[in-house]
Amino acid sequence: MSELLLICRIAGRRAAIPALRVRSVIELEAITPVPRAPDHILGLAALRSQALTVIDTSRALGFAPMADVTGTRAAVVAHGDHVYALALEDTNDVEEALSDPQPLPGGFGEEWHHVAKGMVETARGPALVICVERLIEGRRAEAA
Amino acid sequence: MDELLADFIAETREMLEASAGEIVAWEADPTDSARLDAIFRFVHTVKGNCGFFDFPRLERLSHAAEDVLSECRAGKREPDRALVNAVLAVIDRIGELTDMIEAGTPLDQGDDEALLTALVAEAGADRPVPSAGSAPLSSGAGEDTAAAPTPATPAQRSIRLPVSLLDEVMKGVSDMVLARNDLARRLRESEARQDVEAPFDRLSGILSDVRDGITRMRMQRLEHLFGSFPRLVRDLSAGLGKQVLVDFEGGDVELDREMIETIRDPLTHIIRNAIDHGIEGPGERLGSGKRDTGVIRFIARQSGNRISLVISDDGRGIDAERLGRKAVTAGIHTQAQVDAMSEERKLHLIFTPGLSTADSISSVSGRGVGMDVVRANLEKVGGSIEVSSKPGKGTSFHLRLPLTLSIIAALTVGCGGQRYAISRNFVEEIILGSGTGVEFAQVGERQLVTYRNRRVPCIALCDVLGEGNDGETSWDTRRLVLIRMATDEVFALGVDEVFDHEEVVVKPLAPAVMDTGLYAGTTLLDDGKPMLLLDMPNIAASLSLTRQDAGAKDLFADNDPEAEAETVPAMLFTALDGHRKAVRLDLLRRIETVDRDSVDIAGGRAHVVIEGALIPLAGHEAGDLPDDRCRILRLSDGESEIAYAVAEVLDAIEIAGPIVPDAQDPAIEGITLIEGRPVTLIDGHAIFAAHPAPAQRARELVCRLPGDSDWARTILTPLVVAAGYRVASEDGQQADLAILMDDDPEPEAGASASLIRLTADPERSTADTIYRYDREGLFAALRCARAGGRG
Repeated sequence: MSELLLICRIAGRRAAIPALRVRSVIELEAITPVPRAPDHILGLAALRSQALTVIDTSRALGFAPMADVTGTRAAVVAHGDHVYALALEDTNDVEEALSDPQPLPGGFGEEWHHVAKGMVETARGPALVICVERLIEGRRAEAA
Repeated sequence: MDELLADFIAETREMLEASAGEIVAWEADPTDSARLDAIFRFVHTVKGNCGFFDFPRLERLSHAAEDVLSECRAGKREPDRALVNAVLAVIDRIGELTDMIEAGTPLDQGDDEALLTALVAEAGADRPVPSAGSAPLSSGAGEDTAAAPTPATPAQRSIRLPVSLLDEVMKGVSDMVLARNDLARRLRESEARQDVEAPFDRLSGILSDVRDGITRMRMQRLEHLFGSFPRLVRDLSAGLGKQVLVDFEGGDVELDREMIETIRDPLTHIIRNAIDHGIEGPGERLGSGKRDTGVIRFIARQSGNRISLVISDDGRGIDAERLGRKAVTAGIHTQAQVDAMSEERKLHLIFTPGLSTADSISSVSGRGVGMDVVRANLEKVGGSIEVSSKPGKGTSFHLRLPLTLSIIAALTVGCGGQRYAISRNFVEEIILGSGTGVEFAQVGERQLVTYRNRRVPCIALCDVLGEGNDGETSWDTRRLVLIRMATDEVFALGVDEVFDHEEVVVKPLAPAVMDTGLYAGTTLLDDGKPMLLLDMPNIAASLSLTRQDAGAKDLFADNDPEAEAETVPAMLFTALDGHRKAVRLDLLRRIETVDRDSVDIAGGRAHVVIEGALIPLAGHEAGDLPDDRCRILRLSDGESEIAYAVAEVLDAIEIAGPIVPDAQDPAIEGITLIEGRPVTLIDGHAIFAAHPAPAQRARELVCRLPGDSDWARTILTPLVVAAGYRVASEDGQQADLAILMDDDPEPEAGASASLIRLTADPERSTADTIYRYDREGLFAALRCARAGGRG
């Protein structure tokens, strides 16, 4: 119920990432591209002595790639032994979830279905809770 | 204290601690075979190490415990409480003895009989188990290791730290270095520079030292590990009456200390097995045509963030069939399952718990615990092990180990505006695409570069990475990094720029990035930007630039007499177009120098007259002939001859390297490398096929001219020569053809094979006599005579 969520914008929609998963929010600077990597991987960025794998959250859902991400914010999350930066279109505050994640009759749409945990109510309106693992995997898992 | 001994003590104690839980669990449930296996491995390892260090008491205890546990594993004995207690007492005693060894106390012939008797006591016998404390020992069994008596001789104290702590410190130092670099950049641009320069430099210096220290904490050269093997091998082989040598390669490969500790045991087991089962006795070896001394070879290589370690022996190999039979006997597989197995799969049975290849059990090995322990230990740290074996030739184990955190020397290169690192292990040389002696050639779709006697495939990094600009790759402007793989293949990697040699800390990449198969890890540049480390072995393999059987060849290089390449003798020359070419020496008959005038080029046909012989000319298409004298190679296919015009004859050579065929140009046999430069080998077959002239062995045809007249000398001689005859110089010389004037006397019979009569008077010309200015008639007669002369 009282789960804290980082409210952000992914592919133009209001989305939420469980705040407990987020280590920090950084501003992306120079990104080292990774040729031949899946296209939802923007490249590598450094956080102190750590290399982060930067994920294009829009592309990971199957939408168009994000425009220039320099200066945009990213949520730093750990998954497995690795640390990722989820590039987000906008990050607002951390808000409290006013409900458990709920399914929506008719679903959230094809792209969202795979990564959505459910819809929650917050003080400023509904948001879609995103499963971080699925986002990192991108559409690779679907294709497999 | 000896470093090895310290390791032994630390290891034994560590295992004691680790197995404490297992022991308790086993005690609670003596039928739990997984616990039994774990405890069995412990005593087995202790037994093995004791044999090495010569602690007879320890060895006897562990051997006895191993025997009993082995019976339990085999189901010959039911573990009951009495047995469990007896085993526990032995393990406690091992702990006490370990303490004594560390303290430097000499191990007396203590009274272990009670413990040993308890072990072999019949199941159910209600004998009191003597407590460990009843033995005359200085310290108690359950005592904490920290409370062990202080060593009598204070040696350099060593402590064991959790690796995660080291990782954390290492990461902290890396962060500090980056912060320092950032600060340095800001200082350079700032006014305050002079005030803080000295203290900043000092800070930098200290930081470097700390960083080195941390690095050394973690890394150790493999030779430290290798160092203990010769003695082990010597002792083991001497005990079995065998002669074994050890050979190391790659001792300078640095490996995480923890990893070295992890592989020490597995390697020891493999060595034991090799000496005990693999390598034959001297007599048997000599009998099968080998040297009496066996060899165990270690080859270590670093490739990206993995270490590859091959241990091979030249013994009798593993009998896969027998492994299969044993698996059936032990009830692990059914006969049908084994029958369906491939040879490789059968070999793999060696890693099955409870399977031993030795028919007899010796004190060295052969209880069937070795390889399953080895594999378990390696897999625990994310490594792998594979086995290959050739009957009668030897066995090799291929270990692959990860480097979770390692520092490697790298070369940084630029491609598409980004920097990439290449492990220096692979970098042989850096050359400029525009440098002298560098030549490019395209064969099919493959780009080749020739440099210093070698022709190697050439790949562009931007093509590999898919960063190419789709246009033609301009090789001249690139830099080429010659990459030598562990398997000795060499190829050139074309990059935009070569920056620097750097020591980099390699960190693992996310799975999705690893899946590209192009990168081995990532590292941070001084400005804090990540840089990717290229996975050269994988890239080479994906482009099929490595041989599949390379590993095997590496291992058995000594036994491989086919390595000697055949050389092709050839004549090197400069063609008229200035290119260096060669022709197989077998084709070459002679080298001639002829006057330009002897060469006749008309239309599509060209001929040269040499020693009165008319020979089709080739090679002149390449360029203009010199004005005065021409060098000619006289080639022969055994019947007919062809003259090949060249600019300069260089040298007789041996072509040792491969001759790369060129499908595009049928006139050449292929391209090869001579003294580092590409040389076209001309195709003899094609040349002779292109000049299907009748075999002209005219030089053997001698023509005798009529009398001593000016007309014969000035008019007739050139005509006859042009027709391919040689003019007889002496009267008595045997001639194939004689030309006589109609008023000359009939020649002696047999002086010439055929005869042409000429007449000065056109009126008198008949079928047999030709008017001397009837050029066509004369030529026809000459041709006719030649045909007869050759027949």
